[in-house]
Amino acid sequence: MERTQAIRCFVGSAMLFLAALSVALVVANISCLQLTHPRDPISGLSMSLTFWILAAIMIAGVSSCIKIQQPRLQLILVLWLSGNLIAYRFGLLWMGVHGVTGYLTPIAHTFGLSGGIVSGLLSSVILYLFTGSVGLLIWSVVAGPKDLPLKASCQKCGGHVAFSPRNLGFKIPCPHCQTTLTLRGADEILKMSCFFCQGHVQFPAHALGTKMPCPHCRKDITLIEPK
Amino acid sequence: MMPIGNVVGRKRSRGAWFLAIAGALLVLGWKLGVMVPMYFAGGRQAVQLASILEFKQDLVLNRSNTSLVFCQDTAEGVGIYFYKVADGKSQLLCEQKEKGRRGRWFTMLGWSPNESLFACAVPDDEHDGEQIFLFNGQTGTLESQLGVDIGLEQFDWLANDAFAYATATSVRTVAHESAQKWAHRRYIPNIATNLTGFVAVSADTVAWQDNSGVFMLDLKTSKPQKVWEATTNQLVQFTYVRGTDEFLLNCRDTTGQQLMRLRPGGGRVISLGPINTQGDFVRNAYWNGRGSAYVFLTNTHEGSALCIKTPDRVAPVIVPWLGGANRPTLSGGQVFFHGYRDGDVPGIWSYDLQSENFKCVFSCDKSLKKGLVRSSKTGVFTNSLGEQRSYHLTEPVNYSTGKKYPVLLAQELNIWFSPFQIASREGFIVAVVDRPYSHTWDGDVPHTWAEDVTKLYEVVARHPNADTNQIYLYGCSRDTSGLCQLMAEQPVLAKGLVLFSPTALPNPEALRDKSILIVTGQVAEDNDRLTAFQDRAAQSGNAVTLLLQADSGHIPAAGRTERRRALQFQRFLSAQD
Repeated sequence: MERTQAIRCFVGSAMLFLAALSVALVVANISCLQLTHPRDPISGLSMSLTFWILAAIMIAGVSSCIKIQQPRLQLILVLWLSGNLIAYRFGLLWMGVHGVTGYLTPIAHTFGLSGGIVSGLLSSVILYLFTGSVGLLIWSVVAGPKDLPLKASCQKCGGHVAFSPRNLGFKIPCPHCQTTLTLRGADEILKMSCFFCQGHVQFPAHALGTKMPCPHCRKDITLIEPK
Repeated sequence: MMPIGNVVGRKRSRGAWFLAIAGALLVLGWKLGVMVPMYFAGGRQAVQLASILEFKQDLVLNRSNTSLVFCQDTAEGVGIYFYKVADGKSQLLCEQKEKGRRGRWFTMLGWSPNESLFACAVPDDEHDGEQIFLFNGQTGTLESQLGVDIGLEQFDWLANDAFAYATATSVRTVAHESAQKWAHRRYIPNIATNLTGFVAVSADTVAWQDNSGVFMLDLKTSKPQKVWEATTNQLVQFTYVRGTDEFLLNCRDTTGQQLMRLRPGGGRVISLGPINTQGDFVRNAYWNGRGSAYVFLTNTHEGSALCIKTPDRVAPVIVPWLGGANRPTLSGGQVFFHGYRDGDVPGIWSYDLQSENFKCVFSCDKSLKKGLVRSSKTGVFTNSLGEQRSYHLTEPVNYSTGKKYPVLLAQELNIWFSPFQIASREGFIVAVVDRPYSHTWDGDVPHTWAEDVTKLYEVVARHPNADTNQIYLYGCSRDTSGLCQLMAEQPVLAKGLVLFSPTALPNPEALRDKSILIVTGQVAEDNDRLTAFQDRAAQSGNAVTLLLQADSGHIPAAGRTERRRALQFQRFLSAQD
């Protein structure tokens, strides 16, 4: 599996877990409105309020992951979320809390599971998110940016297109204007002849479609795809 | 201009949204697909069982046993019902809402001497007093209403047009003035320190028990007179028998309990012999003329029994009752009580002394009988104090011999109690040791909750299908002190605790990995104490489910609050491993 694909799968599963967890917290809170919850020993807030806050943070995290689209940033966000939850758990330990089962009662009751199972599931998910994000971040740093998506511009409409390096050289219809375009790396050097003096012109692929004076005859020419 | 990577990003963001929504749907699907059917399977049954409304207080019958007034829970509180035995129809006379209630429930006055009126008092929490309602004794329609500015404890009819009521220290009289108007007449304060057993001896004389003495008061003179005092024995119960103009004194000494007779005018106390043939401490017996007939509840190997002494018998007889019973009343040749047969809904029953037959006089909704679980085993054991106790064991619904089941242990009076039925339906073996009917909460008899339940555990542990790693203890109100004692002695015995309206809480720091359910009324309880316990118990790694019922008193009474408690109890049990 390629690194990009692995990151995409992991971030997808992280979003699934985070969304599931945030919905579970919201549903548990709504289902257990009649119950009195213990206070969070760290913040002193009711666990009910803590659940609302956690759910909001997780929903914000999921939305951010979807918006960001930069794989490394997504991993950092997942790492930040899971890291905070792990830090919170250590904080509870520091406060003398022997187990979190007592604070997860609303979830256990809402979903008909025992406190131990809920606690175990939650710990597994947090551990997965933490180790997964750390592992993939290390992988992406060690392996370098070669697998990161490349960008190209349509020479007709100027629309930007991102694509996987393995698709380099393929011809596709531009998703914006349907003109056929070749997927090239941004630093690829292209060659063409001047329309007026037939002099050779070299330019980077990202300059396709731009107007510039011919270095030979000084007349304005548009940089186009070589035939 | 489109941003870089927008096209691929949009495709990817669609996938990401899909995954996030899938996660959310997974959780909602679990809740709707698994929990909702579970609610319909278990929760609905729990709610149905909790809809079986309990009876309260003594039954009050007219002399001919044709009309009956009883007290039963309603959807919103507690009601007093007027019931014509021949018609089989009950009529709600008045209802006391549970919401906002602070103190006691109704006080029954009963029928006037000629049975033309029936009266009861309802605490008026808004005005720190009571409202006395007078109903037509034949039709049950409201005849008159009278406000009282103190909380009355007991009252009795002086005549057809006058009655007296008493607090712990004072007596007040009320008389009929005109058409529908009744008015206060005399107020005699500070005549007792702890007035109990208040009775009217004649139109001008009342009597009561004050600690160990029996007192009479001529309402014209306002000066109480001590007519008898227990010196070598203890006065347990004091009754006046209007028909024979005699006091009946239930006294206890080192040899047991004796019934004695005393004329109000003074004279010698005549012993009528021992009453205690079962070894019970008899406190709430119902006596009839000259002490020749009486009834009280006792515990036998099979469960409950009526201990009945009739005039034509020298010794009382034990009439077994396969189920729970409470508040027996001797009226004419019949004993009335409310209770239930094993596997049946509760109701009001009568036992005819002549034909020796039980008859159901009034029953709760019989359609609910279908889902009830019967006791699979009853037995008796001797606890560490050498006292015999009867117990009932109910195996879970869909019981299979090759499987281990969690166990719920309890000590409770053998009366109708829906949570035990709910526990059986949730796959628990329910083992309940009968609290002796003679055990009251005034300290006459030391309580043996911890000793009884410890022995019950030993009995249940021998059951091949009992999972001794999943023992749950149940305690209600003052039983919780015994439960705390047991948890302090054997902290690893139980995996979970069910505490209804607890008056005592175990030491949370001594508990580890326990599932604890606490349900109590928010009105009467010290909520800070409970929330502090919840915080400390959670820190120790215990899961505490705390339900404070905002509109309930110490113990829920209304069908609504009882259903909410039952539902929480069912959810708690279903969430256990």
